[in-house]
Amino acid sequence: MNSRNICRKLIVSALLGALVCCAAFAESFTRGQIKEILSDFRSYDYGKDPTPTHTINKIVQFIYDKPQLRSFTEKQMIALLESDATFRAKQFVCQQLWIIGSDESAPVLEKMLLDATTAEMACYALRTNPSDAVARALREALDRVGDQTQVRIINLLGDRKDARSVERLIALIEAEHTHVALTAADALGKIGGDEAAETIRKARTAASGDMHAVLTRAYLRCAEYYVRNKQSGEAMAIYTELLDNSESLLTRRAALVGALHSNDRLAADLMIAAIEQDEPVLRATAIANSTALKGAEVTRKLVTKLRTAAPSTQVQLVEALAYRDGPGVKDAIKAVVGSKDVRVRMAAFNGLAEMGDASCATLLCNALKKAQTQTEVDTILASLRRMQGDEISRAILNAIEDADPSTKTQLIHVISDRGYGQAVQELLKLCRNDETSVAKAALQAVGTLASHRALPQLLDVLLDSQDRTVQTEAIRAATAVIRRSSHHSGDIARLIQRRLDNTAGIPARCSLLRLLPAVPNDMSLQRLKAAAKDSHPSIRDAAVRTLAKYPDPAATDSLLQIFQTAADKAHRIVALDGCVRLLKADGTDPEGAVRFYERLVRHASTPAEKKLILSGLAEVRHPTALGIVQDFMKDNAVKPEASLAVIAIARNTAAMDPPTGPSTARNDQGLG
Amino acid sequence: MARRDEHPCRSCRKGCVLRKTVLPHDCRGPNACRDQRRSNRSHRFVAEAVRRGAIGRLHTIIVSFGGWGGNGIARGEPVRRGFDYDRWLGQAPWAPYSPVRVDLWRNHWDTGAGPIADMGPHFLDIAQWAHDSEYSAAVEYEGHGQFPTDGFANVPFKVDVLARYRDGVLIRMDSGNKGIRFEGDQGWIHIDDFGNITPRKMLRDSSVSGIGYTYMAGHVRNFLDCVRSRRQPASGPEISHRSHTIAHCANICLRLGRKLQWDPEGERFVNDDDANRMLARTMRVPWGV
Repeated sequence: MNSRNICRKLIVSALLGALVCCAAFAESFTRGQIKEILSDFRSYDYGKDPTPTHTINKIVQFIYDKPQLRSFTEKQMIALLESDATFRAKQFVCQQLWIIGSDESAPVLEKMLLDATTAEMACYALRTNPSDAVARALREALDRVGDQTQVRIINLLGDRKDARSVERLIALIEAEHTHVALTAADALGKIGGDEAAETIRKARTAASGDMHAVLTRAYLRCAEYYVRNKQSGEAMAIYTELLDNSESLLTRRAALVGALHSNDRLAADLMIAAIEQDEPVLRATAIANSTALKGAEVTRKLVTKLRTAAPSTQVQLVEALAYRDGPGVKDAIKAVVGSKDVRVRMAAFNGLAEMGDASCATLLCNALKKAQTQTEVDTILASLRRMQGDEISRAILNAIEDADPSTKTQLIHVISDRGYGQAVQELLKLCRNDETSVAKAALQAVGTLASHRALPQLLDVLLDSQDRTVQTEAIRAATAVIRRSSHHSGDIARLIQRRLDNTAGIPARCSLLRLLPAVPNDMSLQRLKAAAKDSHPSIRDAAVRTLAKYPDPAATDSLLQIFQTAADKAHRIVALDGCVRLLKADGTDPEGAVRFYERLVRHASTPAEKKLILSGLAEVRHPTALGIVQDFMKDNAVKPEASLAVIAIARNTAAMDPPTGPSTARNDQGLG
Repeated sequence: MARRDEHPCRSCRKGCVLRKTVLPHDCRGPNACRDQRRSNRSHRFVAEAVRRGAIGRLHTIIVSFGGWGGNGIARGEPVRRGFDYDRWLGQAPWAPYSPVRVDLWRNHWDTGAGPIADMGPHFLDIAQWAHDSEYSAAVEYEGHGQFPTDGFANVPFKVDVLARYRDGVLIRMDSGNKGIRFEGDQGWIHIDDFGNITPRKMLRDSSVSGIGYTYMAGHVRNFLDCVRSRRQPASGPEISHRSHTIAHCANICLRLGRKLQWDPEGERFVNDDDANRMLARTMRVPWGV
């Protein structure tokens, strides 16, 4: 994992280096080149080679911090727009002026606004140009263009929040062309202000259909304008007007949300009034948006409501209260943990996770013991994992003692996931629990949390246990602890050796032998070699199987010897498997591997052994491997595997030695 | 028919408007923006594992969008029968109909936004969730893209953008196999788009892994719950807008070819007017927000 991190960091560093290089060698352009490129671009059209567009993009990048060249480029673009360039060329240039356009391009774009065919692209260029000249050009063009272009310009004026166009837009609300009138109403809402709001209010009373809907939205936008400008009184007047019962439910809902977010002192009263209404949409909306209202008084009102509300409302109130501080909140949520309604209980479990103190954790642990459905269990466990602080972990640990085995297991997993290292001693005691599932969970947690200091006690658990499941889990846990404690590998190796010296029991000695690959050194290897020749079959078996999993290539000779001499067929194949695995490891010298395979081949007798060797040979990147494999081609029992190995070796070697690899591969495929 | 409705938000400013419209003036009930991954157990497990420190202190997030490609020559052709091309083109600048333009809409700035803004918001949403920065965004962007040199496509096919949050956490956006990798000072965790989580040792319950982007039940459940409660869905408009913002900032950085600094509060680039102008685009009539 560490080496991967280092690799990642190197890649990121290389990337940064490459970025610096890219920046250093970015393309540059002279005035002459820019003029020529933009002049040639006049004939550009759809479906043509887009290289010039990429070049112009690069010019725009290049001129960023060069004001004179930037102005020159804009002039060349203006010249293109004034010429008889194609529609596509002009459209593309307008898309560049969207980024770099200034006052200079305003006149030509104004002219283009007057032409229906080019108005669209001109608007594109003008949208974000901050120049006053542009705003003026847009206002002046408004009376000289057709309906479609008027709509475009009105949209732009609205998007630019051009307050100076309000008077003109007010007049346009009465326009004959419906789309123009609707767009003008919408634009007035975007701009906002007293004049716009008053006009919209008056127009809205007489409007119907689409115009009424657009004016309502515009009116709400005007209220937002007031909120932005800290005129909450004016905003509240609009919201109150729109909350009238004569308005549609959706309009009232929108007004209520706006009011609750307006920071006005009357907002809390509106919220309570909405909660008390029979209208479920407004009630839910008020509760869901109560987070926008601060203050203890609001909290107190919500807490009071929680006690008397119907379950469906209680769910919403708990969700809202969970994000509020204040007296009584925690107790109010705790009180509904025992609700008969499962939805309320679930909301309370989630809510308590946000409250986050030890008493909440204890309550959740107790609720876990009584949980009726898997969903409840999952929700409580998720909440316990989410809560932060050591005091929470301690409360969970305390709750384990008198829990049933299933709950104990779940809470141990939570402790592990919370990374609570101070629980190791308690967990080690739980490793000896009579219930296997509890002991197993505790061992997994110890494996995750413990340091090397806990290893002696962990070994005691391993050696004392008679349960195979617990032994296996203890070996896993100890291995995890040892791997994490690489700085103490010497001490750990000596500890295991001492235990091996002082332990007489066969199962215990086997367990200790299985730990040795976690500390791969000379001492461990010698111990395993000796154990592989032990007179007791169980010790021999454990040693051979452990050697086969040994991480260091130093074990290959021992494994070869076992393969050559073992009487037990299972040990032969296990040792061979270990050899092949080690020979496949990264960094193995291909030539040395081939020589080793030659020795293995001499002693392979069964098809299974030969197939195992062929699987390893197939990955050797050395042409000599082909010679070994060819001998197997004569054996019908392994011929298909040998053919596949030939192809694989040929492919591997072709990459390193093109002249010989492929031809050899063809010949050998022919033999198959 | 190409599904252009799937990614409607092609500029930051439009995202702002949609967020504001959906939040206070939402007349249609809760809006389940995206992402369906928020409501599946695999992605939730990864986000919560990172948040609770299972990999130690988070320092790098690598978001990989997968391979990207597809190009051709978009010559003008008669619109095929039964296809309302003008409606399909929607807000984008006018261009003649071409099957290439319709099929490869993702690969042109006018109609799409390339790999970062396509897959990005899905994955960046999870990244922001795990990093606990759902209401903010990275503040510095630097990178390069490999743009096609011919044909209709003009978005980068390969990207490599390195962005940085205020707390120093790096977020790298690249074209590796689809997935998100979180690296901390005590380990790493990776989830691919099929929900497969590695390393397996992080999982106690193996059923947590393998719930991918096609799982919709949780997403639908969350939406229906929010219809009832009127609360914002798991990935509400504000959160969704912020994950889009990162994608748009990265794209603008690639298009301008320079390092950019972003102010998440003001939602503006710092000292770069050109970049700021690229935050909004004009929509073709009759489209607007």
